[in-house]
Amino acid sequence: MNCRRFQNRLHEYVDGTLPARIQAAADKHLAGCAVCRQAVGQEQQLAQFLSNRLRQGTEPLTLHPQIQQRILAALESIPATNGGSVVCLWDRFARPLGIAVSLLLIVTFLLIDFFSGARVRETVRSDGRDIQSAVSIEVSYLVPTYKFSKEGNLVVDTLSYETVVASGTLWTGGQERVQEKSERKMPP
Amino acid sequence: MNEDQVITALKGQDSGAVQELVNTYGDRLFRSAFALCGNEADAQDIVQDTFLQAIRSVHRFQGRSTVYTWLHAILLNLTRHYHRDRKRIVYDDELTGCEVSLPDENPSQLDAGTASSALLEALQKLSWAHREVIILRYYENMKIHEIARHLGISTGTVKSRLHYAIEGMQKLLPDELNLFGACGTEEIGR
Repeated sequence: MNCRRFQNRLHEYVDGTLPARIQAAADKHLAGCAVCRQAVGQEQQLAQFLSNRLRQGTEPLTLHPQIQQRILAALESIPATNGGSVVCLWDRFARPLGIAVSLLLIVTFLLIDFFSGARVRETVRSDGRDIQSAVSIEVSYLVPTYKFSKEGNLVVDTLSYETVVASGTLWTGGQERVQEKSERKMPP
Repeated sequence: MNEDQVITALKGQDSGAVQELVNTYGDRLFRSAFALCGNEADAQDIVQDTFLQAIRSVHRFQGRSTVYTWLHAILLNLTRHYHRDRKRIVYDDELTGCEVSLPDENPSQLDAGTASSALLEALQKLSWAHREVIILRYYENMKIHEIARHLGISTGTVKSRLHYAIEGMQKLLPDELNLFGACGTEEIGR
């Protein structure tokens, strides 16, 4: 143990609350370190000085006898603690109940997430050594197309929508297969 | 009546048990409350409220600590509320240059009573967090882990607060009342 470590544990050393192993190391350090010995003496004297002076400053004070009378008078207005057992039970079981409810909620959310998420297929490779996961995806989007044609003196524009559906499979291995289908839809 | 008997009697709201509780712990709690809040009238009120709250919540006392420690925890909580309500929070930094006043007599011959008053006065000028660790450590003579449990903070925080609290006290006290000088020890560089 060095001086810095000893000084960090100075209060516990003075209190005598160090674990036996650390206490032995602290004693060993103290035997060879005058500075830390002085720090211990200083802390003990400081504690004694403050304790004595603060006690001396408050020693003449006594609680006014009227306070006891007031407390006894107020005692009548305090309802009997019949609900004490209920409160005791609540105090005892509130914490485990809270933990149980929290765990239940976490499990519920995990299950919901598992069953409502994207369908994941797991496949075994032909070599049987690895397992791959695949996610089926399908995306559709509309592509507007304007066509202009001249009929005599008139220019006629036609708006049509093309629905493009892209579907494919994403593999955990980074492979990707996407197929595109398209269907044409005319505006009403 | 031992502590267990007092607690059992309190649960039955026995006036004899209440009287015994006040007689046994009243003065001690009152002195501690005075050291914390620095005002006799407020300290009396706080002690009265402490006993009333203890009677109301005696069913929660599970005997894990001594009755005095339990009562002191209630007192500390009430004093904290009192402190908050009165909005008397004074930060140490603002008081760096504000020394505690001493009577005009030869400062080298300060008697113990004057020193005690000056210490109590200086204590009131510390922040609440620093004041309560000083009281618990040096007035209630609690060990570091007991203070940590009492306040619900880590032992490291207790030690840190103690360090700064002592530093703050030293700034507030005049040289004649230097904590280390008065103890007869020489200050060492840490």
